Amino acid sequence: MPATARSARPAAPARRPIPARVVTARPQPGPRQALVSILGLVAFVVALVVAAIVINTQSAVLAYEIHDAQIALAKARQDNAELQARLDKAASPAQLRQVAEKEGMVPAGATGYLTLASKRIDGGVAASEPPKPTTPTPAVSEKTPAPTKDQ
Amino acid sequence: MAKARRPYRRARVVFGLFLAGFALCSLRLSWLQIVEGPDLARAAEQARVTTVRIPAKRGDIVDSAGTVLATSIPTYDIYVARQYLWDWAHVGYVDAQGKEVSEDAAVRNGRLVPGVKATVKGYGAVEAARVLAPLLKRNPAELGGQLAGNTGSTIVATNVPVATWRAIKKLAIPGVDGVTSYRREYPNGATASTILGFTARSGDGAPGNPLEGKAGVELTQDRRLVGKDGIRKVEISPSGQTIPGGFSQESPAVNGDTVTLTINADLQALAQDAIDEAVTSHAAEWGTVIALDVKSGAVLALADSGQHTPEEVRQGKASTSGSRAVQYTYEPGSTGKLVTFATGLEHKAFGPLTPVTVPYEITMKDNQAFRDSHKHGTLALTAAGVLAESSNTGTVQLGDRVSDKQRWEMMRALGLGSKTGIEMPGETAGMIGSPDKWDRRQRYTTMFGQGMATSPLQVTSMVATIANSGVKEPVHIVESYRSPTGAVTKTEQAPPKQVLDPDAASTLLKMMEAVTTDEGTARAAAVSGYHTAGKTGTTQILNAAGGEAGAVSSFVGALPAEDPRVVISVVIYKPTRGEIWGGTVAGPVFAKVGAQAMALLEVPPSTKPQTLYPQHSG
Repeated sequence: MPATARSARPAAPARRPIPARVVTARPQPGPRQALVSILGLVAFVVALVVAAIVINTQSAVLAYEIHDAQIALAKARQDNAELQARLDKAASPAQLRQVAEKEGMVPAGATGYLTLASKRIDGGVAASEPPKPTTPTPAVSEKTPAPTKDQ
Repeated sequence: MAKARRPYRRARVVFGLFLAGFALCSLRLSWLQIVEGPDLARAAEQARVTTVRIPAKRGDIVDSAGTVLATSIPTYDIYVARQYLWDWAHVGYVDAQGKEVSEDAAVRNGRLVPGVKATVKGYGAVEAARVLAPLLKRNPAELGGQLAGNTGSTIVATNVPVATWRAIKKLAIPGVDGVTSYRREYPNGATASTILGFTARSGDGAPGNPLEGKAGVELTQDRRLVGKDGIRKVEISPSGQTIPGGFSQESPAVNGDTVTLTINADLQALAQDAIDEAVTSHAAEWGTVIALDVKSGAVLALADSGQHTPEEVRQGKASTSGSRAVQYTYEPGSTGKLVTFATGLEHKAFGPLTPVTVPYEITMKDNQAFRDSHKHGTLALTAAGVLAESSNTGTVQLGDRVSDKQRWEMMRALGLGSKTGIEMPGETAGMIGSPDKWDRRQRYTTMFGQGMATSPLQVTSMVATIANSGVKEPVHIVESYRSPTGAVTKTEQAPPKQVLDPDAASTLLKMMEAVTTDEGTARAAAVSGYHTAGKTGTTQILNAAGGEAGAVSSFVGALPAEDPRVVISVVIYKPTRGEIWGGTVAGPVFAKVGAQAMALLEVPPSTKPQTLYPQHSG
């Protein structure tokens, strides 16, 4: 075996001493650390309870508010229906007529029409007088004397 | 050898007993939770949860312009449970000056405000009656009698306005409760009341029962107007108050549809005024006015004289709860001549210029003699002149040119003898006998509208068909329905039908134009600015003995004659003062309503000069 090849072989590892095994107890929390944990836990529980109470209280408050709002809404709807009925009544032709007459108005007369081609006004009765028949009542008796038969 | 003593024996026994007890409890708990649980939960819920009916609002009825004719407004029915009332003490509060103060001012945080004294104003039913009577507008003694006792409940008022209920509620009288209800309101009073009808509580009429249509459109459209009641389940406290945040379940009420009518409230009101005035001035029994839209068959106004408010009708103060225009029949008289002329023109048996020799009296086949309403010498008239003069002797001659069957078929085609189908109750079909049942005289009298019975609505529809170029449109008064969500559904109508030749219809309409001119019998029916086509009718009413018992005066016409938009008919039954002729009694009413209808529909006046057929021949 050549010298070079021998020198390339790794040297055997040196035997190291085995360390002595030491068994130690797990570190125990001190009394102070336990107190903190307990207090933390208690605080957490208290926070949960308080949160639940707050949520419940708020829920109850909201429920009351909703209840009141529903009552107010129902009342408003009822008032609206009554007011609408009063408005409908006040806007009825008969009511308007009464109010207008109270204000000194008179019913409109028959409409008159102006024909531009012939420059003539047909019909029309002034509104300042009580309404008259649109066309003067003809002397029908000339054509229709005592009723004897069907016409 | 001594038996070994088992350790903890006593403890084991105790533990065993405990275990057995625990097992028993578990068993019982399981029984309660699993087997009896649902029933117990239901029972508990029933004890805590109350179910309240939410009444649905009955739908409105409105006119074509949206004017409310009938509506429902919320009210309360007031109940009193006597067992809560008999030991009630009405506590009042007075301040240091002896002045009465409200509870709100007297009590703060549940304690009396210093200086305020609580006093008892009264006890039980007597006190409740004293405070409730003025609010309910009732006699205190009578109300006290009703409230006396300590059992049962009683209704002390129905349809109480909301404001009154709120004032009652503020009194906080135990046992007094209000139940939501609806009152039917007719804001226009008597306007269109025979169309609308009225409502009453369904079933035995007890308070709380829903409203139900009893007449008019309220009856025919009841299915649409009635909504669906809702239900609310809420958890209540022992004192009866709703627990906010407690169990609550609601199925909302669905209100009824709004029914839109074709009528116009303004025209309706004017028509009612006009017919009332005419009936009064002519001392007649009753009268009707109908306005129909020629192009659609929609009723624009349908007025009866002497209309009462729906509430008065419900109370039986009106002589009839229906519309005479729809339910009554009369002999149409000369307006019935239009059928004879329509038949002749349709079958080309004669034309408007056909010459007719018209004597005052004439004897036809089978020795049947007829005469005209007024004495005159023998006239040489055209067929158009016969219609304008409303000659009976001329009409029977022209009527003889067509067969009875042809005339009868024309009557039927124009709608006589059958219901129009209007959405109103109790419509009459009239009476038109078939020709094979006509006697020798009736076959002639039917030529001028006697020996037959028609309703005013049928005659109006007949003339509307003539005015609409012979096309018969379905008569209707309900335009559409609007659901609570706003969806509008048009009513379904039968398709229009051509029942008369268009040329014959337009010729006849042209012939009718002369009626309102100086040549005709109804100058009073002319509407200024518009050419008017129409026909008068005056029919003698015969009693059982064959004697004269009054007359029916009528006029029916179309406006404007050159392109009719509206047909209006006026019928006045038994006028006893002054003239009785259709032209003079019914004509002015037509003119008044016609002028208003033209203005409302914004129909421009006639501009072309009126041309008429010659009335005289030769």
